Amino acid sequence: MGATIDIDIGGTFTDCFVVWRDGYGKGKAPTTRYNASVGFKNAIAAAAESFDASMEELLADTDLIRYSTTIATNTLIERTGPKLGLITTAGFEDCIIVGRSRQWADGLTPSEIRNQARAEKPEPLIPREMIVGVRERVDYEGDVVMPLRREDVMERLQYLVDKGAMGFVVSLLWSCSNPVHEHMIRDIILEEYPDVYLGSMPVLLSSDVSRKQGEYLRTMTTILDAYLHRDLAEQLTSLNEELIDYGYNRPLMVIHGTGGMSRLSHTTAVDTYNSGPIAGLLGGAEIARMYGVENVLVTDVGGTSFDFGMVVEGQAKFYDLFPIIDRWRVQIPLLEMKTVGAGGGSIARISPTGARITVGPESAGSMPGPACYGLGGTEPTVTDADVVLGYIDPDYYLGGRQRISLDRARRAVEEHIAQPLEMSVEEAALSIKQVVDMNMGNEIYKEVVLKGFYPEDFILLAYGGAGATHCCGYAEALAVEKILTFPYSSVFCAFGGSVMDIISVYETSRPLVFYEALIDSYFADFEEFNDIVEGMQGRAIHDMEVQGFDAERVRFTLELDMRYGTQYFTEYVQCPKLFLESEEDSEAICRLFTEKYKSLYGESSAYPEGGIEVLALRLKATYPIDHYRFPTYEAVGEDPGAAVKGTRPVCWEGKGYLETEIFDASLLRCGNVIRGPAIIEAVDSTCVLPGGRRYTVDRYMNGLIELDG
Amino acid sequence: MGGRDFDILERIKTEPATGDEQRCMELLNPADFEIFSHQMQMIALEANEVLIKTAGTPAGLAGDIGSCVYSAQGDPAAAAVGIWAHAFAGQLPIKYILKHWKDEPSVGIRDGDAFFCNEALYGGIHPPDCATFLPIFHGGELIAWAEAMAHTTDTGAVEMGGISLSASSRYEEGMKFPPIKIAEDFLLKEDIITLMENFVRDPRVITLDNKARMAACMRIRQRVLEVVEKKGRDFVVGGLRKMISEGSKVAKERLSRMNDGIYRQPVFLNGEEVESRGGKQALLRIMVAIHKEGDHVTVKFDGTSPEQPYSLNAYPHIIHPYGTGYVCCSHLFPDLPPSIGLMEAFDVEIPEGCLMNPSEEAAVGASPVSLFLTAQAIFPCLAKILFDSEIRSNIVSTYPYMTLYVVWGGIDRRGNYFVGLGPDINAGGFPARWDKDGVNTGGFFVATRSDCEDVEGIDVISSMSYLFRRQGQDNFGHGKYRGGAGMEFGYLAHKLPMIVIMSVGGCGKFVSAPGIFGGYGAPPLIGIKVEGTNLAEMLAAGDENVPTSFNELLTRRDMIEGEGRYTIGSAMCELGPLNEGDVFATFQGGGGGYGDVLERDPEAVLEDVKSGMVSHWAAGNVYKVAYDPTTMVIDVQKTAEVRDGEREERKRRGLSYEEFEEGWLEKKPPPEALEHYGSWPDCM
Repeated sequence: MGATIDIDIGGTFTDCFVVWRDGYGKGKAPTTRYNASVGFKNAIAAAAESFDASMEELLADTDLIRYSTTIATNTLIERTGPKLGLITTAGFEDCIIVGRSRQWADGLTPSEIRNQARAEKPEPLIPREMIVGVRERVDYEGDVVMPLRREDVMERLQYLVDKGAMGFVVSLLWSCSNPVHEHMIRDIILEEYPDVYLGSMPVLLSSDVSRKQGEYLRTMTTILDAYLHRDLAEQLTSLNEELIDYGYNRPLMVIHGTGGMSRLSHTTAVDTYNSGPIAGLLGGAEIARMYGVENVLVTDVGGTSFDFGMVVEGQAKFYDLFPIIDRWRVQIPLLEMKTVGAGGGSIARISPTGARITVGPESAGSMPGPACYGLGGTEPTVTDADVVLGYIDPDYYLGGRQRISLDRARRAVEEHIAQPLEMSVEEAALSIKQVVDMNMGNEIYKEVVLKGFYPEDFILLAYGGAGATHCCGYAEALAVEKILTFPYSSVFCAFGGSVMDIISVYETSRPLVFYEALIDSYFADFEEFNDIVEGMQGRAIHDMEVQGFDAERVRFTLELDMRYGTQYFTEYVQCPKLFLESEEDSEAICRLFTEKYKSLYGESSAYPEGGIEVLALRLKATYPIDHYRFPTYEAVGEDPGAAVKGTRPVCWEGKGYLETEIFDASLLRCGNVIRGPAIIEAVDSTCVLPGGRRYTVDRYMNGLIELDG
Repeated sequence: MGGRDFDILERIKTEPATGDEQRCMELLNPADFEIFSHQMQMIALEANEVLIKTAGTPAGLAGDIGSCVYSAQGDPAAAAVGIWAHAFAGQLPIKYILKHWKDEPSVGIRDGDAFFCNEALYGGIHPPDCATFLPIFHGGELIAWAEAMAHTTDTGAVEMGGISLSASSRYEEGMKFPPIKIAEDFLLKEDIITLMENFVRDPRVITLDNKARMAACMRIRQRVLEVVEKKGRDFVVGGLRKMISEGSKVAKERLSRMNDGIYRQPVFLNGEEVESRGGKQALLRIMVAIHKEGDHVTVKFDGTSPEQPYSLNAYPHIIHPYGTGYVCCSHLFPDLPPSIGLMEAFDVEIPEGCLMNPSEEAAVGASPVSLFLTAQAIFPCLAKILFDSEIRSNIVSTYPYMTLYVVWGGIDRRGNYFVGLGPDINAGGFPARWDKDGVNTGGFFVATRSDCEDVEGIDVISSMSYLFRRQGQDNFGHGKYRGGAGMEFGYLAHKLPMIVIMSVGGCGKFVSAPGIFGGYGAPPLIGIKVEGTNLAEMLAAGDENVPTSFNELLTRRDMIEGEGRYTIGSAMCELGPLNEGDVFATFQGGGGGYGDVLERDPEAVLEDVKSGMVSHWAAGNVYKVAYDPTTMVIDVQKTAEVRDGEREERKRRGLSYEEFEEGWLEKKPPPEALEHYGSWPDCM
């Protein structure tokens, strides 16, 4: 069997995880914004080195390349998408400008939203002058109330073309119930402006992108697809061509934020959003399977942000149904990875009265970066505190590749925190660490308990540049007993790509009364329900077959978005059956909903007496593929002595500076046990092990951190 | 003993710290305190999420909600909202419970209890703002309170929706509960729930809301006790108190750096409610004078119209959370953790018997109208205070004070009785700033989470269809920087068994948001109701005259009318049916303008014309921009000439103060409009 290559193109680094010759290798290279393929190739070349092979040799023997990218994020930040025209229903042209009024707050943190005087809506991706309304109306039942007139469409179209539109988004009211008018408009565009005229300019219909109600969300999802399409297509086409030149002529699979992947032809640009972090979450699910545990928390601590997500019952199953992409709320079920502004670059400050030390969300980023970088940063950051405390060796930062200054770190902490608060530099640095660790822990805590779970029932996975440095700190806030760190921690998201299946998700909005309390009656229109499911299933099978996957092997799961009475928000339940046959089935679904609701909000919160409705159905189609299995190793003994690099003074909470043993992670062997306090250094990460914790190199060569004694 | 207790309503300030609280505060070092504050914030946010996700009221979507962690003495320490008032207004009912029920054998406060209150005379806001309070005990000692409030759309007033337009006294405003025990042993009491259901039109909403409030409070309790478990009782008691004390300390210190002075702003509304009861149009005034001295601010209301025989009245204790609370949390100190401490520097003085300090019998259902107006009056004062301060960037003109509140109800498409609330309330314009235009359709200004929803969602959940919905033209205050536009919208009754509709406000004949520093005010709100239309036929025929905007509906009467009947007037619409094919259209107010229109960049004016925000008429006649309406090219020289001409014209029109006063006093409104105003002109 040949190699598989997983690539995660992030904002700063391009990570690579390669499975080949019965083992794995990792590579990392700076992301090259001007041409992503340069960083892509460099990362593959770096990974090939770990097999003592060239990139060409590796690619020539590669069966599959999977790929996640931040191109969507970059295009949005840099606003480099094409000039688009939006055709919508007359009278509703301002829909995306109004943005449900809340658009100004979407994508901001609660503290940013507080300052209402400085509220600002983002610049629309399609300016108002490129939005036209056509006279037509379809109602909520899909009935045509006002017919569409060809002349009207032609007139509006001509206006957009004259204005320089390079692509069209068509999003009409209630096209999710009946897309007839959207189809007519597409036909007219294609007739009037065939390919020769428009070239490869896209015509995207909202009804093709989403069948869920909610015109703002549906329209924005479609606009983002159209807006991001060109840059994504260019990047992938360029990559494809280069890969062919290097002898790789198999498909390039693209990882989706929905938790699966598809061929490029079945990938919309929005699908790729946040795909890297979500691949990491799926990597967490694989780790859960390997270790035979149900619940894991994945945590990724980077320079400016802290990402976390949950795997429950072995699955990454929590979706954000209305995620915000940049500043835009959309309507695709993205697997949920939360982000907060905390990381190595987070800046520490004191409040005006000196009553508190705050850390973040402002970050020094990578430029100027922490004070210790010596690139102009003067305010103390989390990394500076880590250096002051002796956790990070200034001479071995990134394996010694980057020189940093202990003096600058000390000065920053001293001037900005220690002196004003009349405390020692060490106390100040420890306070910074405590605040960032506990705040990260509290953020995780809130999200976990909101989903009806307790963090203490989870194993915590720590990756990212600063994950191992701070994991014991935030684990304490969560009362988590077990933590796992990984030798491939710095490319964990790329590893996550290697365990993904082919997955597509289909959604349909349809209000269905499942329990009518007044007459004590359960839903019985099985034909209507089953028709919807059949329709989605048909689309799924078609999509799988055209990608060359055997429809027989596709597994389906169905989720229902449900609510009580007059509620606006829904909770979803996994439907035990794809097709309903009896009122008992409906009753069982209602029971599941109530059970889940009670587990989330308390025993007495449920209210079936108010009636139960399904508002939307979601079908997930999964085509499983074989994944790499990590080999296991035999324990060779607990003594880690061979890996000791030396000692240095390290400051620990409640103990002050202790001469602490430093270990070289690459020299540790299976079964070695290190008792805290200790520091375990790898080229790309530093694990800080406080007293009372024990680090064991387990059978997969991962670092298992547990409470000691 | 129970009964009304007006002393309690005076206790809007933080209770003095007990010796125990003082001692406990010392336990938290700067790192502990930051971690604790963040933790309490997370707890409030978590409870708020629970409240939003489980509530039955559409107000959950609107952000008409709040959750808060209170100290044992009943002072708000950490809040997440919604509306700030909804987090802070639990203060007085909790203090009432502590004073009257704690040692009352027939009531008592025990672990597992929860209380409910929606009565303004006992510290509440107005009847639909229903709150639940849950005492948090540790080791048998009361150490904190949890609070959750959500606006429940119907509380059984004479008109649906909670805000009764026509109630002339408290006795027509439906369910009004003083603090009452709603749960024991952590279970809602079925007898009380049934009692409440018995008051209202759609019991599902109030019961879901009661369950949601209880779930949110339970969540706060659980989390606070977890912190107690880890860090100890003293740490939590000290931390809560310190959050309030620190907020107060920093806020006062900042205030002391701002210029002292007396800052006045009158604001007006026309009391449509009077007309709705067969009376006359009436002009009302709220006069706000902010006396700022050092680190203390007194907000005085001398010169405010007297108590009204309709539901616009508001009690003084509500001004604190609604007016100063909102201003402090969202504009003055948005960077400080929200607690009652931020408002500690503020006092309120209101003459008895006026609109903002009415008698016990007064109807108060529409009190938010007056409270919004009060907040509106504070902003021009604030602009003057902030102009020479470190946060000049937070200067705003005025928000449209009565975001129009549309309520509908009847039988929905599934055959259920229902009461809905038009989410369009959440699409008012924001005011112009000192350096830029206001945000268009920014929301319902006091509700920081407001969301105006998709029309498809409203169609499914609330059974209401739309003829159009868009940003309005010229419905904001013009200026060097213009106010943000409000949303205009037309409802169309379509495939509905039966629906009645009404709208509430108070700005049908008066500027809905005054401008500042020379900026213009936003226009009054107009409403159009068209009954018996031929729109169904026009739509089916694909008629190009089907209106797609407010202006088209207004100007195409001859084309649309058929058998239709137009009623054009104030945006306030009395309760009445909306039959199949009928239309009700209006718009939310825009924000007030900032600065002189003649200083606005002509290019910005043309950009607004292109996007439809500003009409050609206003571009030429208000902004005095000369341009070719076909090519949209500005004639720079001519624009300068026209603007210079206008400046000269202004000088020519200018009057001495004496001349102005003489002419102004001649403009005294007719006696019937002043019937409820108080003495002209100063309401004294």
